Amino acid sequence: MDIKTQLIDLFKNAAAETGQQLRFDSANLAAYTAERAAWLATLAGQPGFDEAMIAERDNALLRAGIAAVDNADALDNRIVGIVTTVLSVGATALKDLGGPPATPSE
Amino acid sequence: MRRTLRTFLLPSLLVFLASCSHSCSGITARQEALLPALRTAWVNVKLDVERGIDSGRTTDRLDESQGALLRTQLANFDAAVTEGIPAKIAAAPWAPLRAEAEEGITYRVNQGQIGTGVASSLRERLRNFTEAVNKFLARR
Repeated sequence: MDIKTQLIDLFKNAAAETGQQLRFDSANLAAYTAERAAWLATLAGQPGFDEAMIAERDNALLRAGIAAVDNADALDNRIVGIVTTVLSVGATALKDLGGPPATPSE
Repeated sequence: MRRTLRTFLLPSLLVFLASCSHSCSGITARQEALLPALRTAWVNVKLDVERGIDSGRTTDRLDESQGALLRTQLANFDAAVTEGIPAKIAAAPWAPLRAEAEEGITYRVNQGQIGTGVASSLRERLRNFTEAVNKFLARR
C-alpha cells in the first residue's frame, strides 16, 4: 500500500472516530440536560427557585462548552498523531534513499 | 526521486498544512464556545462570591483586611474573565473565591433565603464553572 492510500485511510478512520465521539458527547449532553430539568421540576415552590432555573441554564451552557473543548482537543491530538506517523514513515523512506547503493554481493 | 516526491513529500506537505489549520481547533473552541459560557455563568457566580464575602463580614468569619483582599481578588478575576485572556485568568486565583461562593450559599440556606435543592443547583454550577476554568487554562 502506498503512502497516499495509507494517508487516506488514516483520515477516514480519524473522521469516523471523531464522528462517533461527537454523537456520544451530544447524547451525554442531552442526558445531562434532561437530568437537570427533571431535578429542577422537583424544586418548584422552594425559596430561590428562580435562581435555580438560572443556575441550571448556566450548567447546560457550561457542559456544552466543556464538551466542545473536549471534542476539539481530541481532534487535535488525532491529527498530531497522524502527522507524527506520516513524518516518521517519511523519515525512514528518506533515510533509505540516502543510504549507500546495494552491492551485488548483498 | 520524483516518485518519492509524488507519493510521500507532497501528501506529507498537505497533511502538514491541514494540521496547521486544524491543530488550533482546541484553542478556537475555548475562545468561541467555552469563554462565552464562562462569561454568562460568571455574572451569577460572581453574585454568589459577593454574598459569601458579605456573609463572612456579617458573621465575623472574615476580618476587614481579609474581606478587602478577597474583594480585590474578585475584581481581578472579574476583569480577567471579561478580557478573556488565559494568562490573566490564571494569574487571578479562583480557589479562594470559590470557597467564598460556597460559604455564601451555605449562609443563605441557613438564613432560609434559598432551599437546599436550590443550593444544590448553585453548587452544581460552581463545580461546572470550576471545571470550565480549568479546561480553559489547560492549553495556553
